[in-house]
Amino acid sequence: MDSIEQLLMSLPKSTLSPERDRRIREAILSAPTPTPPPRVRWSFAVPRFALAFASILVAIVGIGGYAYAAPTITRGDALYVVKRGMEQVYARLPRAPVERVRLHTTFALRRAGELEALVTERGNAGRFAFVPVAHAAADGEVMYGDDPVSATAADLIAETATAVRIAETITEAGAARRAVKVLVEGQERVQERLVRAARTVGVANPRRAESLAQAMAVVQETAIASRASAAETAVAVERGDRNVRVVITTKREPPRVSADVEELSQDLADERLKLPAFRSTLTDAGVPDADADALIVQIEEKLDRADAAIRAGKDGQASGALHAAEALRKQAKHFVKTAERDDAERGETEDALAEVHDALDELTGRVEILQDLQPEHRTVRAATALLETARAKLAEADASFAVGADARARTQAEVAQELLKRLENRLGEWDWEEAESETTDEDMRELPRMGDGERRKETGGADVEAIEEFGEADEIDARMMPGVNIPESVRVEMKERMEREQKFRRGRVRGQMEVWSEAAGSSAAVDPQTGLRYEFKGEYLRPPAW
Amino acid sequence: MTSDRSTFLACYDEFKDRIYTYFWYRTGFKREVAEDLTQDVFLKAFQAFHAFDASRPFAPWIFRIAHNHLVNHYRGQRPTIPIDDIPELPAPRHDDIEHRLEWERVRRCMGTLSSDDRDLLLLRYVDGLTHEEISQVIGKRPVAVRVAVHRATRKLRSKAGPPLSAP
Repeated sequence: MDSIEQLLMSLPKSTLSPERDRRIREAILSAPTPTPPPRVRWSFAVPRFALAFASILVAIVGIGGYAYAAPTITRGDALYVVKRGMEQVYARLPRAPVERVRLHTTFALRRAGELEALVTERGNAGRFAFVPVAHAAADGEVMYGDDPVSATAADLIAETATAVRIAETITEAGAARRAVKVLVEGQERVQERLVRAARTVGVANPRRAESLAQAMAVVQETAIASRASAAETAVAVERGDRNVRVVITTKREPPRVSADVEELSQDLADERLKLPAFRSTLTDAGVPDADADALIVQIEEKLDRADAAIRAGKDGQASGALHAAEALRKQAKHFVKTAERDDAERGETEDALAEVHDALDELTGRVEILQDLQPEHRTVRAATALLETARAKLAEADASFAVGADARARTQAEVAQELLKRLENRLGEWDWEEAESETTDEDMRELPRMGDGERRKETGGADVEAIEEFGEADEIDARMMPGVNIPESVRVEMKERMEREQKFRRGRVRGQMEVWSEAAGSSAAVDPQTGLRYEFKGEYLRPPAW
Repeated sequence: MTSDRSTFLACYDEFKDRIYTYFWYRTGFKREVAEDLTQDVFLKAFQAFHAFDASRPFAPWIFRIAHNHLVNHYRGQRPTIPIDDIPELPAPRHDDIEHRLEWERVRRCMGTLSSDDRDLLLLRYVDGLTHEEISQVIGKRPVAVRVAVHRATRKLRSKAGPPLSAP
């Protein structure tokens, strides 16, 4: 090194004044704990940009935008192809599962809006159509292609099923809860629109009534199953579960392959038996005879078709016809014009509520037995939570019934019943042997690592890796501050902390360096008598040689 | 996070005087200004400490923050090191008159160097950073820094002429 370099190195260095040093130190100590900014998750960020890009495209293509948004663009309209095409583009953009559930629910809602427009003839169908489907239907001409109402109803069912299928793939508790909420809210709005459409259609157009009834049945079942799932998911989230399994099972999920001939025949017989009672319910409710007869004839036709299909060995067709008959019977109240149907509804609601109360009482008894046996068992805790949720739902139903809101009361009772069904299934899975042998709570256990068992055997339970890294707790004080006489109280505290660190650090730290940081942080201590602060300064804290 | 805070305080203890000296030389030896800047830099660094990779040396990281802070501080002002303008530059540690004269000569010559060259020499010899660390602070490749420091030193030497004590 020559003299110039030596001269430069001999330039004076200054030091921070003690007063300023104290102020900076205080500022650091009193500064709020910095929080790292949330990371941008690309799986969510990319679709957002993609969506923005797609939105710009929509804005540019004005006609496309109009077609995409307008409920009056229905099947049979020339622009309907554009509308569905754009929906398909949207559906294919990558997005989070919850958003996909939302999207398909929105599509289902649109189909419901289109159905309403179609049956009230507000739609543009036929006006710009290449094939004037709507006009042809109105004139009683032979139509080529499906009836737009039936086809749209089928689309609605498909969109609902897609939304449900996506929701069922979500396992993260928070996301599942949001997805189910989206489903519940969406189905409610779809139902409202379908009911309005059904009132307009009436029983005059059997084919349309049938299609609408099918769609309504699916949506209703989905809504009930979704509400039950919503309650179940909420319980899981409150319990602190990270993962849940969303199950939204409806009877109508195609294909129904399990149906065998005997089962179908039994269903058919049951359905036929219910018809006379249904007919008198209609009469009691003040439905005009002509309407009631038309409805009964329609249901009988379905049942005859199911019968023929069973004989011909066509299980799928038979199952479909039976479903259609059942849907027509159950949804009939929305189609028929009734003068005094309130009383009948009131009685039905009362019966439904009583049934759920009975089920609740029975299951309460079973859960109480389990609570006595294994109060801390996870299944028992989950069952208790489910039971309480069902009880709360049923209380809501009773309250609704008391104020005369029968429809709401019935829906709430159905949700409670669905929850109780799930509870019953869960209790059915109860494993007595496992319950008796299970003593530890799995969630609280440390994550096992390879070779843990052997290491523990050799070291008598001590964490050998931590000891290699930090040394024995006894040696720590000597290594930490060589030559410093550490008061006994401080040394004991440090030793305890280090032992705790060695014992519990596993599984909670992300990497090697954090282990060191944790160790450094936890091995700092203040001597209560002298007020001196002792800190562990490992290699990593030293400035590089210069 | 408590451990983060205590770790950061340990780092602060190590580097407070070096960062202060860094600013002291670059703010015309104005103690108050240099202390304010030092305080700003450490508070800023604490807020960003969660992003600091503990497997890497602390020096380049904190000097980089100081460097950026100084640039912001001088934005719109003259971003030069006024070493030549300050008569009250503290004398070096050596007491012998020959060394003082020598230093006086070098100081005058340093004033004629470009601000970049001066900054490099200060980073290397006063702030005590290695070439590798300087490269991380100013965002250049280590080889380029080594060459630039070498050239600046040669330039200073040629301007100052042979040392007085030379035979």
